Amino acid sequence: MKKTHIIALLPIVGALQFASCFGDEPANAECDIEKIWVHTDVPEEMFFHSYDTLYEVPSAETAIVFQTRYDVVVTQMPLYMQVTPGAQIFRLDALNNREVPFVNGDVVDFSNAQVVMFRVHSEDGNYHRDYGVSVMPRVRGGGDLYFSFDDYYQLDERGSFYEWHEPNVPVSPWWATGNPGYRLSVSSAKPQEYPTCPEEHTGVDGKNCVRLTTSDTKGFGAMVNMRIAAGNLFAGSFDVANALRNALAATKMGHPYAHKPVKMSGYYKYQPGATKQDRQGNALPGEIDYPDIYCVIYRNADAQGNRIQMDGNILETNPQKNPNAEYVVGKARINSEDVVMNSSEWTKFELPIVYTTELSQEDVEGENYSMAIVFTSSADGGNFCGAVGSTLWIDNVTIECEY
Amino acid sequence: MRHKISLFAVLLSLSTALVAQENDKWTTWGPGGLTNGGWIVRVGFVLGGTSPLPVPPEIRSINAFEPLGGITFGADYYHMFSRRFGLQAGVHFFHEGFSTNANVKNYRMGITQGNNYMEGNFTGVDITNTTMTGISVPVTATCRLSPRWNIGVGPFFSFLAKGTFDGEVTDGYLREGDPTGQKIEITDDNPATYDFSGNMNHFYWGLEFMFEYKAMKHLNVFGAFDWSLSSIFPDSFETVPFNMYPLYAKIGVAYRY
Repeated sequence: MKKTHIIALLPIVGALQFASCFGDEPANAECDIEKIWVHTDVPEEMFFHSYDTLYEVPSAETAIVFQTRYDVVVTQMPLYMQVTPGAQIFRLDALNNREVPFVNGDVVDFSNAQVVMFRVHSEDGNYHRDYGVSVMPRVRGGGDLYFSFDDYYQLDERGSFYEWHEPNVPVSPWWATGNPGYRLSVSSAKPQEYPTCPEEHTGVDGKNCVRLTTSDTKGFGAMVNMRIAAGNLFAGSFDVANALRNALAATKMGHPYAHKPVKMSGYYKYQPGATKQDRQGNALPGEIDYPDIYCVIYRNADAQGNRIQMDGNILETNPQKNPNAEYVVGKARINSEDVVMNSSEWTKFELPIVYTTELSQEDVEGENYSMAIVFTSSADGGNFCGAVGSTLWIDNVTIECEY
Repeated sequence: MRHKISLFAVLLSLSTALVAQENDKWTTWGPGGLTNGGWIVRVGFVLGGTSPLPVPPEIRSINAFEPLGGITFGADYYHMFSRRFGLQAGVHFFHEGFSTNANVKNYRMGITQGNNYMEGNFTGVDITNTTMTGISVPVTATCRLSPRWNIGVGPFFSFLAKGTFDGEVTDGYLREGDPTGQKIEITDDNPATYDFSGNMNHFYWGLEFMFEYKAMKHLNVFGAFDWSLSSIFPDSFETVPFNMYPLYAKIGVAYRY
């Protein structure tokens, strides 16, 4: 009897639900440059890698820079873009404040390192985004690197968290952190409550340093099974788009580096948090958290010239978990057993980079290798395993190069 | 002429007899005395959902629709002013809900956890669960179409004791803030959940359309459609940008005293 009633009613419910038909699909509201590329007949003459002619634009980025070989004099090149379907591209003529329709393949003048402005209007006409595109020679830099962390940190454009903008580095910004991911889960956090932040007047020289703290991601993090966020600072970039989906994939490790580093050194202090926990949030009694400090050199293109970009799995030697493991050529890593814990004094670390492959200087200077430098307050933080409160302080980091 | 008169007399007596018989039916099935009133106690199932009207273009398709719960019981007092017209009012308890799985495009939404919040436009799959428990007061003008069939229409006023509106988003991405914001992939290996239960209105009203059929001497079969004219969210709540109207159908049995 009951069932017949329900069945009898289903058509009514269906009619209710669909009485008002679905309207036409709305026009797209997004207005992204998804991919952008330049055309040149012999890419290798102008670029270190043929993949440098194409840029897949992360959604948050609006400054697009094609990086050429050091001595290239850039003039004009045909430019192509793939934008959100239906979106329209315009050249922004700043002088006359005009929008000029852009057609793929139009030749654009990139001379004198000028930034060419484009505006993309969404299909629905309600939104637009402005992009600056430029073509600039890469900077080789002088080899040895020194980071005092005394300066060059500032709040991001929202004022939520700190980021570092070191000058005199071949790639800028050099340092990335997981702070943008932490903001997604703990939007209420103050800048000093983020996992990675500067600490003033407490450095080894009495000046400033970097503090990395393994932090609770609160309810939202638990919901996506990411209960903690280790403080991290790494040479590379953080891809926020993947932050909630696959955090290890979100940490893009390393920058191309045309020198051969041989030693990484600096100062640290470490205070492990009270209770280490696993990914599910279960306490691991008796286990003490430890930090990680390492440097990895890897080949940044495969035999076919495709880009190799290492992520948070960079130390993984199992090719099933890290398909790019074979491209690692050199490594330096702090030994977890040697870490000095709970000391109020700074400890110096000196880690020689051990190469498993002989590098040719020509290859190195041809920007065929990338260097990743990583600091984290919980070594297994990439798997969301660590102790909330574990804190690693870092100061005065040096990279020494053979050439 | 005589023939005509006698034919008229026959017709008259016949129709009088029919009316008498019909009057018997109205009396048999109606309240005694035709203009009296009485009590009806009812119980039934509720099916339906909460829907924007019209369905906004951001909702591209419904992949699944599943009622949750769905029961109503209550009592009404009715009074007939004439043989055909009357008024009925009552108090009904209801517990109703639904779950939908829909494809959405550029759907405005937010995700809350404690005092942390993320808002933006989502493209992907949205799964929503809504339940509403409360008391409804319908006041219906009734019309007796025939001895056994009643129809009615009138306003209802509902008081929500407990409402939930929660769900998850998956298989897509959020553009943080607006469609130009950064893209955050949200996939089925890490879906994100939301809960707007605390933002729901506790009072809403609308129109009830009902019918009753007198199946047995004291037993009615009834059906009703409650079309809410007020949204379950206040206008000040912007995370869901369109009004969501509860639309529910009820069917059940009633005991007529």
